[in-house]
Amino acid sequence: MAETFKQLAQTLIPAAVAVIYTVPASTQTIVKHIVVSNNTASTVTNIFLYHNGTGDTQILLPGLDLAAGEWAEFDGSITMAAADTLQAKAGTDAVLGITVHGMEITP
Amino acid sequence: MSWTVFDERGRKKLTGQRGRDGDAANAAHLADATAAHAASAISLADVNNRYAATDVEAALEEVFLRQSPASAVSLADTGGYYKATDVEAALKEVLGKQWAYYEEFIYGIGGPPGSGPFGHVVGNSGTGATIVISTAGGKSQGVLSLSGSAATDTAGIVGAQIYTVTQNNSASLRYRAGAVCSLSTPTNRFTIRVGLMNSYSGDPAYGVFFRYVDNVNSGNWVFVCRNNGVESTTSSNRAPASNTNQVLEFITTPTSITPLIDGAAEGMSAITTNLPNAVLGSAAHVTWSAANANTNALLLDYVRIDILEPNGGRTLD
Repeated sequence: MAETFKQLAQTLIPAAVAVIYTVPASTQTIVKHIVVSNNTASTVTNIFLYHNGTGDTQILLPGLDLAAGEWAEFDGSITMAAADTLQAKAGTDAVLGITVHGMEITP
Repeated sequence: MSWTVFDERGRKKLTGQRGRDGDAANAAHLADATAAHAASAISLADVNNRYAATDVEAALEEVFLRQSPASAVSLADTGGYYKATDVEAALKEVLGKQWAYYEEFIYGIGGPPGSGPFGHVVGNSGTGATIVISTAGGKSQGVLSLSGSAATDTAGIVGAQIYTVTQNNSASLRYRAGAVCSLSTPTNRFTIRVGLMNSYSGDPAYGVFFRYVDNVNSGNWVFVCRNNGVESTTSSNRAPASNTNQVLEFITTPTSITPLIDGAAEGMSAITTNLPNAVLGSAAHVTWSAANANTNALLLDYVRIDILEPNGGRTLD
Protein backbone atom coordinates (compact mmCIF):
# COMPACT_ATOMS: atom_id res chain seq x y z
CA MET A 1 0.00 0.00 0.00
CA ALA A 2 1.32 3.40 -0.96
CA GLU A 3 0.46 6.69 0.70
CA THR A 4 1.24 9.79 -1.28
CA PHE A 5 0.91 13.27 0.18
CA LYS A 6 0.36 15.65 -2.68
CA GLN A 7 -1.37 18.64 -4.07
CA LEU A 8 -4.66 17.17 -5.23
CA ALA A 9 -6.02 20.21 -7.09
CA GLN A 10 -5.17 23.80 -7.85
CA THR A 11 -7.38 25.88 -10.11
CA LEU A 12 -9.63 28.93 -10.42
CA ILE A 13 -13.21 28.31 -9.30
CA PRO A 14 -15.71 28.65 -12.15
CA ALA A 15 -19.12 30.28 -12.04
CA ALA A 16 -20.78 27.10 -13.25
CA VAL A 17 -20.25 24.17 -10.91
CA ALA A 18 -17.43 21.95 -12.13
CA VAL A 19 -15.29 19.09 -10.90
CA ILE A 20 -11.93 20.19 -9.54
CA TYR A 21 -10.70 16.77 -8.39
CA THR A 22 -11.65 13.14 -9.02
CA VAL A 23 -10.25 10.28 -6.98
CA PRO A 24 -8.42 7.95 -9.35
CA ALA A 25 -9.44 4.33 -9.77
CA SER A 26 -8.27 1.89 -7.12
CA THR A 27 -7.42 4.82 -4.89
CA GLN A 28 -8.66 6.29 -1.64
CA THR A 29 -8.04 9.93 -0.79
CA ILE A 30 -7.98 11.87 2.46
CA VAL A 31 -8.29 15.61 1.91
CA LYS A 32 -6.44 17.43 4.69
CA HIS A 33 -6.29 21.10 3.72
CA ILE A 34 -8.18 23.42 1.40
CA VAL A 35 -7.53 27.11 0.77
CA VAL A 36 -9.90 29.38 -1.14
CA SER A 37 -8.50 32.87 -1.65
CA ASN A 38 -9.88 36.09 -3.09
CA ASN A 39 -6.99 38.06 -4.52
CA THR A 40 -9.26 40.48 -6.32
CA ALA A 41 -10.42 43.97 -5.34
CA SER A 42 -14.07 42.96 -4.99
CA THR A 43 -16.22 40.68 -2.90
CA VAL A 44 -16.97 37.31 -4.43
CA THR A 45 -20.20 35.81 -3.25
CA ASN A 46 -21.86 32.42 -3.19
CA ILE A 47 -18.79 30.24 -3.01
CA PHE A 48 -19.78 26.58 -2.84
CA LEU A 49 -17.78 23.41 -2.43
CA TYR A 50 -19.36 19.97 -2.84
CA HIS A 51 -18.39 16.37 -2.21
CA ASN A 52 -19.77 13.78 -4.62
CA GLY A 53 -22.70 15.70 -5.99
CA THR A 54 -24.25 19.17 -5.96
CA GLY A 55 -27.27 18.72 -3.74
CA ASP A 56 -27.77 20.13 -0.29
CA THR A 57 -26.56 16.93 1.32
CA GLN A 58 -23.25 17.16 -0.56
CA ILE A 59 -22.34 20.71 0.49
CA LEU A 60 -18.99 21.21 2.20
CA LEU A 61 -18.97 25.01 1.98
CA PRO A 62 -22.43 26.61 1.86
CA GLY A 63 -22.46 29.89 -0.01
CA LEU A 64 -19.57 31.77 1.61
CA ASP A 65 -18.79 35.39 0.72
CA LEU A 66 -15.18 36.49 0.63
CA ALA A 67 -14.35 40.19 0.53
CA ALA A 68 -11.33 41.53 -1.28
CA GLY A 69 -8.17 40.07 0.17
CA GLU A 70 -9.91 37.46 2.32
CA TRP A 71 -9.39 33.73 2.30
CA ALA A 72 -10.91 30.65 3.85
CA GLU A 73 -9.03 27.63 5.08
CA PHE A 74 -10.21 24.13 5.83
CA ASP A 75 -8.30 21.87 8.19
CA GLY A 76 -9.62 18.42 8.82
CA SER A 77 -10.13 15.09 7.11
CA ILE A 78 -12.48 14.39 4.23
CA THR A 79 -12.37 10.75 3.19
CA MET A 80 -13.03 9.96 -0.47
CA ALA A 81 -13.36 6.69 -2.35
CA ALA A 82 -12.39 5.95 -5.92
CA ALA A 83 -14.30 8.11 -8.40
CA ASP A 84 -15.51 10.50 -5.72
CA THR A 85 -15.36 14.14 -6.74
CA LEU A 86 -14.83 17.59 -5.34
CA GLN A 87 -16.84 20.25 -7.17
CA ALA A 88 -16.88 24.01 -6.76
CA LYS A 89 -18.50 27.18 -8.04
CA ALA A 90 -18.45 30.90 -7.18
CA GLY A 91 -20.44 34.01 -7.98
CA THR A 92 -17.63 35.43 -10.13
CA ASP A 93 -16.07 33.22 -12.77
CA ALA A 94 -12.41 32.21 -12.58
CA VAL A 95 -11.10 34.73 -10.03
CA LEU A 96 -10.89 32.69 -6.83
CA GLY A 97 -7.99 30.31 -6.41
CA ILE A 98 -8.55 26.96 -4.72
CA THR A 99 -5.81 24.62 -3.66
CA VAL A 100 -6.43 21.17 -2.19
CA HIS A 101 -3.85 19.06 -0.40
CA GLY A 102 -4.15 15.57 0.92
CA MET A 103 -3.10 11.95 0.69
CA GLU A 104 -3.84 9.37 -1.98
CA ILE A 105 -3.73 5.76 -0.86
CA THR A 106 -3.23 3.01 -3.36
CA PRO A 107 -2.94 -0.75 -2.82
CA MET B 1 -14.03 19.69 10.38
CA SER B 2 -13.84 23.42 10.53
CA TRP B 3 -13.47 26.33 8.18
CA THR B 4 -11.74 29.54 9.17
CA VAL B 5 -12.15 32.77 7.22
CA PHE B 6 -9.44 35.40 7.41
CA ASP B 7 -9.87 39.07 6.52
CA GLU B 8 -7.46 41.09 4.43
CA ARG B 9 -5.31 41.68 7.52
CA GLY B 10 -5.08 38.02 8.38
CA ARG B 11 -7.44 38.24 11.32
CA LYS B 12 -9.89 35.43 11.91
CA LYS B 13 -13.44 36.36 11.02
CA LEU B 14 -15.35 33.25 11.94
CA THR B 15 -14.82 29.60 12.67
CA GLY B 16 -17.26 26.99 11.55
CA GLN B 17 -19.94 29.59 10.82
CA ARG B 18 -20.81 31.92 8.05
CA GLY B 19 -22.61 35.21 8.02
CA ARG B 20 -22.10 38.60 9.59
CA ASP B 21 -23.77 38.11 12.95
CA GLY B 22 -23.05 40.64 15.62
CA ASP B 23 -22.73 39.94 19.31
CA ALA B 24 -25.78 37.77 20.01
CA ALA B 25 -25.71 38.50 23.72
CA ASN B 26 -25.72 42.24 23.18
CA ALA B 27 -28.41 41.99 20.54
CA ALA B 28 -30.61 40.15 23.01
CA HIS B 29 -29.87 42.73 25.72
CA LEU B 30 -30.74 45.64 23.47
CA ALA B 31 -33.93 43.95 22.33
CA ASP B 32 -35.12 43.53 25.91
CA ALA B 33 -37.76 46.20 26.37
CA THR B 34 -38.63 45.21 29.93
CA ALA B 35 -35.45 45.82 31.84
CA ALA B 36 -34.03 49.20 32.79
CA HIS B 37 -30.71 49.75 31.12
CA ALA B 38 -27.81 51.87 32.21
CA ALA B 39 -25.15 53.08 29.86
CA SER B 40 -22.63 51.01 31.80
CA ALA B 41 -24.57 47.87 30.93
CA ILE B 42 -23.85 48.36 27.24
CA SER B 43 -20.74 46.58 26.10
CA LEU B 44 -19.95 45.93 22.48
CA ALA B 45 -17.28 43.32 23.13
CA ASP B 46 -14.85 42.73 20.33
CA VAL B 47 -15.46 39.14 19.33
CA ASN B 48 -13.94 39.69 15.91
CA ASN B 49 -17.35 40.01 14.31
CA ARG B 50 -18.71 43.04 12.57
CA TYR B 51 -21.54 44.80 14.31
CA ALA B 52 -24.74 45.25 12.38
CA ALA B 53 -25.92 48.82 11.98
CA THR B 54 -28.97 48.10 14.11
CA ASP B 55 -26.78 47.02 17.05
CA VAL B 56 -24.72 50.22 16.99
CA GLU B 57 -27.79 52.39 16.52
CA ALA B 58 -29.62 50.76 19.41
CA ALA B 59 -26.59 51.11 21.68
CA LEU B 60 -26.33 54.83 20.90
CA GLU B 61 -30.03 55.29 21.52
CA GLU B 62 -29.74 53.66 24.93
CA VAL B 63 -26.99 56.00 25.98
CA PHE B 64 -29.06 59.10 25.29
CA LEU B 65 -32.55 57.97 25.97
CA ARG B 66 -33.52 54.64 27.37
CA GLN B 67 -35.13 52.21 25.00
CA SER B 68 -35.93 54.72 22.31
CA PRO B 69 -36.74 53.74 18.75
CA ALA B 70 -33.56 52.99 16.90
CA SER B 71 -35.03 54.68 13.84
CA ALA B 72 -33.67 58.01 15.06
CA VAL B 73 -30.16 56.99 14.10
CA SER B 74 -29.31 55.56 10.73
CA LEU B 75 -26.03 53.81 9.98
CA ALA B 76 -26.36 52.37 6.52
CA ASP B 77 -25.08 48.85 6.49
CA THR B 78 -22.34 49.08 3.90
CA GLY B 79 -21.14 45.60 4.64
CA GLY B 80 -17.83 46.79 6.06
CA TYR B 81 -16.37 47.80 9.38
CA TYR B 82 -17.63 51.03 10.86
CA LYS B 83 -15.01 53.74 10.85
CA ALA B 84 -14.66 56.24 13.64
CA THR B 85 -16.13 58.91 11.36
CA ASP B 86 -19.27 56.83 10.83
CA VAL B 87 -19.83 56.44 14.56
CA GLU B 88 -19.05 60.14 15.14
CA ALA B 89 -21.64 61.13 12.57
CA ALA B 90 -24.21 58.91 14.25
CA LEU B 91 -23.41 60.44 17.65
CA LYS B 92 -23.87 63.94 16.24
CA GLU B 93 -27.13 62.89 14.68
CA VAL B 94 -28.47 61.67 18.01
CA LEU B 95 -27.23 64.78 19.85
CA GLY B 96 -28.86 66.99 17.27
CA LYS B 97 -32.21 65.29 17.66
CA GLN B 98 -32.50 65.33 21.43
CA TRP B 99 -33.06 68.13 23.88
CA ALA B 100 -34.00 68.47 27.53
CA TYR B 101 -36.12 70.67 29.75
CA TYR B 102 -35.07 70.85 33.38
CA GLU B 103 -36.64 72.61 36.37
CA GLU B 104 -34.76 72.64 39.68
CA PHE B 105 -37.29 74.89 41.46
CA ILE B 106 -34.53 77.19 42.67
CA TYR B 107 -36.90 80.13 42.40
CA GLY B 108 -40.07 78.29 43.29
CA ILE B 109 -41.84 77.51 40.08
CA GLY B 110 -39.19 78.96 37.80
CA GLY B 111 -39.53 82.63 38.66
CA PRO B 112 -42.77 84.52 37.92
CA PRO B 113 -45.77 82.29 37.50
CA GLY B 114 -46.01 80.87 34.03
CA SER B 115 -42.28 81.21 33.39
CA GLY B 116 -39.43 78.72 33.63
CA PRO B 117 -38.83 75.87 31.24
CA PHE B 118 -42.18 74.28 31.98
CA GLY B 119 -44.29 77.39 32.48
CA HIS B 120 -45.61 76.10 35.79
CA VAL B 121 -48.42 78.00 37.47
CA VAL B 122 -49.95 77.41 40.86
CA GLY B 123 -53.48 76.09 41.03
CA ASN B 124 -54.30 75.77 44.71
CA SER B 125 -57.81 75.46 46.04
CA GLY B 126 -59.27 75.25 49.54
CA THR B 127 -58.37 77.18 52.65
CA GLY B 128 -55.11 75.60 53.67
CA ALA B 129 -53.22 74.70 50.51
CA THR B 130 -49.77 76.25 50.15
CA ILE B 131 -46.80 75.90 47.85
CA VAL B 132 -43.50 77.28 49.06
CA ILE B 133 -39.79 76.89 48.52
CA SER B 134 -38.38 74.60 51.13
CA THR B 135 -35.13 73.23 52.40
CA ALA B 136 -36.87 70.16 53.74
CA GLY B 137 -35.79 66.71 52.82
CA GLY B 138 -32.15 67.58 53.37
CA LYS B 139 -32.00 69.81 50.30
CA SER B 140 -30.08 73.07 50.56
CA GLN B 141 -32.31 74.77 48.04
CA GLY B 142 -34.66 74.17 45.16
CA VAL B 143 -37.41 72.01 46.62
CA LEU B 144 -41.07 72.79 46.08
CA SER B 145 -43.19 71.97 49.14
CA LEU B 146 -46.90 71.23 48.66
CA SER B 147 -48.88 71.37 51.90
CA GLY B 148 -52.51 71.47 53.03
CA SER B 149 -54.71 71.31 56.13
CA ALA B 150 -58.35 71.02 55.13
CA ALA B 151 -60.34 68.18 53.68
CA THR B 152 -61.08 70.14 50.53
CA ASP B 153 -57.55 71.42 49.93
CA THR B 154 -55.61 70.87 46.75
CA ALA B 155 -52.07 72.11 46.31
CA GLY B 156 -50.99 71.83 42.74
CA ILE B 157 -48.92 73.12 39.84
CA VAL B 158 -49.47 72.64 36.13
CA GLY B 159 -47.13 73.72 33.37
CA ALA B 160 -47.76 74.79 29.81
CA GLN B 161 -49.57 72.07 27.95
CA ILE B 162 -47.16 71.40 25.11
CA TYR B 163 -46.17 67.77 25.36
CA THR B 164 -47.77 64.96 23.47
CA VAL B 165 -47.04 61.30 23.70
CA THR B 166 -49.04 59.96 20.77
CA GLN B 167 -49.37 62.77 18.26
CA ASN B 168 -45.81 63.28 17.08
CA ASN B 169 -43.40 61.93 14.51
CA SER B 170 -42.31 58.85 16.41
CA ALA B 171 -40.61 60.96 19.06
CA SER B 172 -39.70 59.50 22.42
CA LEU B 173 -40.00 61.32 25.71
CA ARG B 174 -38.38 60.53 29.04
CA TYR B 175 -39.90 62.14 32.12
CA ARG B 176 -38.19 62.16 35.49
CA ALA B 177 -39.16 63.83 38.74
CA GLY B 178 -37.42 63.70 42.09
CA ALA B 179 -39.98 63.49 44.87
CA VAL B 180 -40.18 62.96 48.60
CA CYS B 181 -43.67 62.07 49.79
CA SER B 182 -45.24 61.93 53.18
CA LEU B 183 -47.51 58.98 53.89
CA SER B 184 -51.25 59.52 54.01
CA THR B 185 -53.37 57.88 56.75
CA PRO B 186 -57.09 57.28 57.25
CA THR B 187 -57.38 60.46 59.32
CA ASN B 188 -55.02 62.46 57.13
CA ARG B 189 -55.75 61.11 53.72
CA PHE B 190 -54.46 62.72 50.57
CA THR B 191 -53.75 61.61 47.01
CA ILE B 192 -50.51 62.60 45.26
CA ARG B 193 -50.24 62.79 41.48
CA VAL B 194 -46.95 63.53 39.66
CA GLY B 195 -46.40 63.47 35.89
CA LEU B 196 -47.86 65.02 32.74
CA MET B 197 -51.48 66.12 33.08
CA ASN B 198 -53.95 68.72 31.91
CA SER B 199 -55.54 69.74 35.20
CA TYR B 200 -54.63 71.04 38.67
CA SER B 201 -56.48 68.54 40.81
CA GLY B 202 -58.00 65.10 40.85
CA ASP B 203 -57.64 62.65 38.02
CA PRO B 204 -57.19 64.62 34.81
CA ALA B 205 -59.13 63.84 31.67
CA TYR B 206 -55.76 63.24 29.98
CA GLY B 207 -52.52 62.35 31.67
CA VAL B 208 -49.53 60.12 32.31
CA PHE B 209 -48.68 60.12 35.99
CA PHE B 210 -47.85 58.33 39.22
CA ARG B 211 -50.61 58.22 41.82
CA TYR B 212 -50.43 57.43 45.54
CA VAL B 213 -52.91 57.17 48.40
CA ASP B 214 -52.56 54.94 51.45
CA ASN B 215 -55.72 52.86 50.88
CA VAL B 216 -55.04 51.86 47.24
CA ASN B 217 -52.58 49.17 46.14
CA SER B 218 -51.49 48.75 49.76
CA GLY B 219 -50.08 52.25 49.75
CA ASN B 220 -47.78 51.60 46.78
CA TRP B 221 -47.44 53.81 43.72
CA VAL B 222 -49.79 53.20 40.82
CA PHE B 223 -48.85 54.34 37.30
CA VAL B 224 -51.75 55.73 35.29
CA CYS B 225 -52.50 56.62 31.68
CA ARG B 226 -55.76 58.46 31.06
CA ASN B 227 -57.35 59.28 27.72
CA ASN B 228 -60.61 61.25 27.75
CA GLY B 229 -61.39 60.09 31.27
CA VAL B 230 -60.66 56.40 30.73
CA GLU B 231 -57.58 55.01 32.40
CA SER B 232 -55.20 52.09 32.23
CA THR B 233 -53.05 51.39 35.25
CA THR B 234 -50.16 49.25 36.36
CA SER B 235 -49.48 48.71 40.05
CA SER B 236 -46.05 48.88 41.60
CA ASN B 237 -44.77 47.15 44.70
CA ARG B 238 -42.98 50.29 45.85
CA ALA B 239 -44.37 52.76 48.36
CA PRO B 240 -43.30 56.33 49.03
CA ALA B 241 -41.02 56.61 52.03
CA SER B 242 -40.81 59.59 54.32
CA ASN B 243 -37.64 61.59 53.90
CA THR B 244 -36.52 59.38 51.03
CA ASN B 245 -36.06 60.80 47.56
CA GLN B 246 -37.50 58.71 44.76
CA VAL B 247 -37.08 59.23 41.03
CA LEU B 248 -40.42 58.77 39.32
CA GLU B 249 -39.79 58.11 35.65
CA PHE B 250 -41.56 57.06 32.49
CA ILE B 251 -40.47 56.65 28.91
CA THR B 252 -42.92 57.08 26.07
CA THR B 253 -43.17 56.02 22.48
CA PRO B 254 -46.24 56.74 20.40
CA THR B 255 -47.61 53.30 21.26
CA SER B 256 -46.40 52.47 24.78
CA ILE B 257 -45.30 54.06 28.03
CA THR B 258 -42.91 52.32 30.43
CA PRO B 259 -42.77 53.42 34.07
CA LEU B 260 -39.80 53.11 36.42
CA ILE B 261 -39.14 54.05 40.06
CA ASP B 262 -35.49 54.69 40.86
CA GLY B 263 -34.63 53.06 37.56
CA ALA B 264 -36.47 49.81 38.23
CA ALA B 265 -39.80 48.39 37.07
CA GLU B 266 -40.86 47.59 40.68
CA GLY B 267 -43.59 45.27 39.45
CA MET B 268 -44.98 47.67 36.84
CA SER B 269 -45.47 46.91 33.17
CA ALA B 270 -45.57 49.07 30.08
CA ILE B 271 -49.00 50.50 29.25
CA THR B 272 -50.24 50.40 25.67
CA THR B 273 -53.90 51.39 26.06
CA ASN B 274 -55.61 54.68 26.91
CA LEU B 275 -52.50 56.64 26.06
CA PRO B 276 -53.49 60.30 26.31
CA ASN B 277 -54.24 61.76 22.90
CA ALA B 278 -53.93 65.40 23.97
CA VAL B 279 -51.34 68.00 24.87
CA LEU B 280 -50.16 67.75 28.46
CA GLY B 281 -48.14 69.83 30.90
CA SER B 282 -45.75 69.02 33.70
CA ALA B 283 -47.94 68.78 36.81
CA ALA B 284 -47.93 67.73 40.43
CA HIS B 285 -50.72 68.02 42.96
CA VAL B 286 -51.90 66.80 46.32
CA THR B 287 -55.63 66.49 46.98
CA TRP B 288 -56.89 66.00 50.55
CA SER B 289 -59.96 63.99 51.46
CA ALA B 290 -59.55 63.95 55.26
CA ALA B 291 -58.75 67.04 57.29
CA ASN B 292 -55.50 67.32 59.14
CA ALA B 293 -52.59 69.69 58.85
CA ASN B 294 -49.96 68.19 56.63
CA THR B 295 -46.87 70.09 55.76
CA ASN B 296 -44.63 68.84 53.01
CA ALA B 297 -47.09 66.23 51.82
CA LEU B 298 -45.09 66.36 48.59
CA LEU B 299 -41.59 67.73 48.15
CA LEU B 300 -40.82 68.11 44.46
CA ASP B 301 -37.07 68.34 43.91
CA TYR B 302 -36.88 68.60 40.11
CA VAL B 303 -38.62 67.78 36.90
CA ARG B 304 -36.75 66.85 33.74
CA ILE B 305 -37.97 65.91 30.31
CA ASP B 306 -35.68 64.54 27.57
CA ILE B 307 -37.07 64.36 24.07
CA LEU B 308 -35.62 62.44 21.14
CA GLU B 309 -37.15 63.63 17.89
CA PRO B 310 -36.16 61.33 15.01
CA ASN B 311 -37.67 63.44 12.25
CA GLY B 312 -36.43 66.83 13.32
CA GLY B 313 -33.69 68.45 15.27
CA ARG B 314 -30.62 70.48 14.49
CA THR B 315 -27.41 69.65 12.68
CA LEU B 316 -24.28 69.75 14.77
CA ASP B 317 -20.96 70.79 13.33
